[in-house]
Amino acid sequence: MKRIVLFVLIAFCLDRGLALAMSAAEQRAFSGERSGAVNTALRNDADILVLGSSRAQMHVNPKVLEEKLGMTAYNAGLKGQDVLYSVMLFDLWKRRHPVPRVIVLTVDVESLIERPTEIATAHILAPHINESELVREVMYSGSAFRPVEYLSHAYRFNGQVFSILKHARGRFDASDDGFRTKSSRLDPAIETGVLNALDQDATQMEYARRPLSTPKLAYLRELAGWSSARGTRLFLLHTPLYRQDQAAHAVWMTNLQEFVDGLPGVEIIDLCTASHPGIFADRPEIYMNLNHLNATGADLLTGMLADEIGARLRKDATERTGGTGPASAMTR
Amino acid sequence: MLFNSFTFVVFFIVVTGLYFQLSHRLRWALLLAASCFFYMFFVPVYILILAVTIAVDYVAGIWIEDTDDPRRKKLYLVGSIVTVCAVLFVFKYFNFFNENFAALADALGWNYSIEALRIALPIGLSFHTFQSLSYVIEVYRGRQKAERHFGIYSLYVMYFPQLVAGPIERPQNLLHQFHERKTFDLARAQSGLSLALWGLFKKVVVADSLAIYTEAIYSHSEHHTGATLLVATYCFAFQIYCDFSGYSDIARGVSRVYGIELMRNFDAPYLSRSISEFWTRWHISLSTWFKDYVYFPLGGSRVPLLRNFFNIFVVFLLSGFWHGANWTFIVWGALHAAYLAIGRLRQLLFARIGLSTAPQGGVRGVIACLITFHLVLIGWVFFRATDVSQAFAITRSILVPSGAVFWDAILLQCALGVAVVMVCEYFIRRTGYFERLGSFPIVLRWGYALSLLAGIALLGIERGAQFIYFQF
Repeated sequence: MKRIVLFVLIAFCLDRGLALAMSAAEQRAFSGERSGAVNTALRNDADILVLGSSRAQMHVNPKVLEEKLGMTAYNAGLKGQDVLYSVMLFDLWKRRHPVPRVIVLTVDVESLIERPTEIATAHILAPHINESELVREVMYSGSAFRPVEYLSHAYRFNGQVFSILKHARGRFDASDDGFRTKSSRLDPAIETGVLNALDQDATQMEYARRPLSTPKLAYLRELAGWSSARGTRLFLLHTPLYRQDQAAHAVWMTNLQEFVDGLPGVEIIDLCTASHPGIFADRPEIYMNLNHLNATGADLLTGMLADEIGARLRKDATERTGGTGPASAMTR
Repeated sequence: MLFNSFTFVVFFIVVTGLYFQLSHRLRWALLLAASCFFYMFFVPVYILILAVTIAVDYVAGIWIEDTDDPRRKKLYLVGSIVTVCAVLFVFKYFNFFNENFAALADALGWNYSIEALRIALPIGLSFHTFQSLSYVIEVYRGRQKAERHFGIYSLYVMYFPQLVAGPIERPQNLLHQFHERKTFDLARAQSGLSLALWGLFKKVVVADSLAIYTEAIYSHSEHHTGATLLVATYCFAFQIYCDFSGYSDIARGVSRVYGIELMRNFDAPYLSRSISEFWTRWHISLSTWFKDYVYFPLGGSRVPLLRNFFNIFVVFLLSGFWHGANWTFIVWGALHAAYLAIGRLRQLLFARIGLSTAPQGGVRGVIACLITFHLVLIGWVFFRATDVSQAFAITRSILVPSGAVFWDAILLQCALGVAVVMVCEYFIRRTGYFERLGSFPIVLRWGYALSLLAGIALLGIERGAQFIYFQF
């Protein structure tokens, strides 16, 4: 019995020791697609914070926003992540920075439905589990045993060891705005083959018809409430796909609009292929692959986004000042 | 219920606690109830299929033993085999035959309108069917007494550690162990838990990380270079080994805690120096099953050469078909049969010119080992591919590997994991580590267990793939 107790004690100490070492390394990581991306995002202050998946990360160029709107911007979107990661990251971010003026959260037809894999991919925020009630809540969801798993502190770094060790000697790069892009051009011959194989239209419609996830809607409501109370504008941005199913888009937008109608201060900005076919449809030269715009496409989209945000902020400013205020009220 | 889940950990703790609290008379009932619960965690209604198999073979075993008439004995045996195989056919093979008949009829312009069955394959069906069959055959051969205790017989077929992916046990090894009185033995429990922990490490740290790369490449094989496909196939070779041997180790380890020893299913197969040696080290419980119940009854190798080739092909085509109702598995089986036939020819030729074909050591042994591994590797392409045309396309690409290798960070974890597995397996095999655990210093034992636990916590793939052999 003594030996068993001793073994458990050693295991406990080993777990905490490993976690401490990993945590020290993790806090020094400022490059790479996991902890590095999280740490960089958490360090950067911004008036406009862009959140979301790779379709935020690769579609919204903060430099264009800064030039057009005269506000600082940071893109905290991350490949492989989506709404759950975004709301958790924002919960951590807001504890470190002043209130942002604008939050842009990209959402797609699959962003607000239930996806168990999304919790697993959002595990990259597990090292911050003690910092936020929201992070804890999301991490513990999905299985009754999740809280037990997280009793191991080393487990919080599960799946990130090599990435953390590789980037642990990186330095914080203040010029990194989080935007990632490529100038490569989509090859319609190859990509259309993939598209047909994936039967993306059918998938889009299937996603569009699925009920929206209750916990995700609750998190978004919470974010909307927080933003509204502090005068932050929250925009849900829908960005283009190389091929977008019009019917699926219509179904999904109806559902999204229904949800947004009940939330004060939240607006949809729909800049996708279905809503703007003249700009985004059948133009392989502005895409890098089926799901992502290339650098040219991203600049085009961000320009439109900046115009849209600018117009809406001006409208707000005008309404606040009874139609006589200067348009530059939107700038800091 | 998956071995690599917390649900199973809780299940195991509860069952083990109750097992050693109960008197010997009731333990079979506990294990049987636990096995039913374990199986019903997947698709509850499929337990009825198991019930049919168990009932048929239980009655057949008793009837076979109770009659002295050889013709009746044979009749009961055949009746039992046909019934059990019919269940297997309906659930596993009907749609395959139906699809192929439909394609043939279409080519011949005939009207064929039998609909495919919309049923899911019961998990581990082939495993428990074969285990059940081995019982009736052994009773028929007079090498095993018929089990009169229905509960114990049911437990023999349903014993949860090996219910869904083996090892496919023989009644001589397993049945008597359920009758024996077991007491809790700390040393045995430590050995069992260490073995199970090793299996879990192989599964969640190594196999599941290899699966990520393999899946990514094989699911879009047409877009990858020959070099990438070759790396993905290497990954699959180690993935399937770590996955399946990991499962077997967990099964053996868990069972050892109860004092019930299951047979060893793997013995460092990739160190084999010939294909025939490979089949004495890979999935031993299945290969010996086919050897005992198909190959030897057909005459084995003590027949003319052509007949021997026929026997080899029958065994390996059946073995391929056992794995799945897909032409890829049949080609995989045929390929291994061809390897063995060529090996047999080589053996005869060498004997005629006075050369030895005995296993070699040193550099020649290493070369023989590498050649064998790569022959097996070609087979894995067919095993992993979704269809035969994809398998041939991949084989063509990897035979002349070209282009750059698609790099992903997971490959680093894969390479490290495979290296750890190879070194540890070598050590385990050389020292008989799990069997002689108590003789090793405590620092080594604890260091080993703590390292595995730390490895699982830090590197284990969350929500990894299901065990590959569950689908069979």
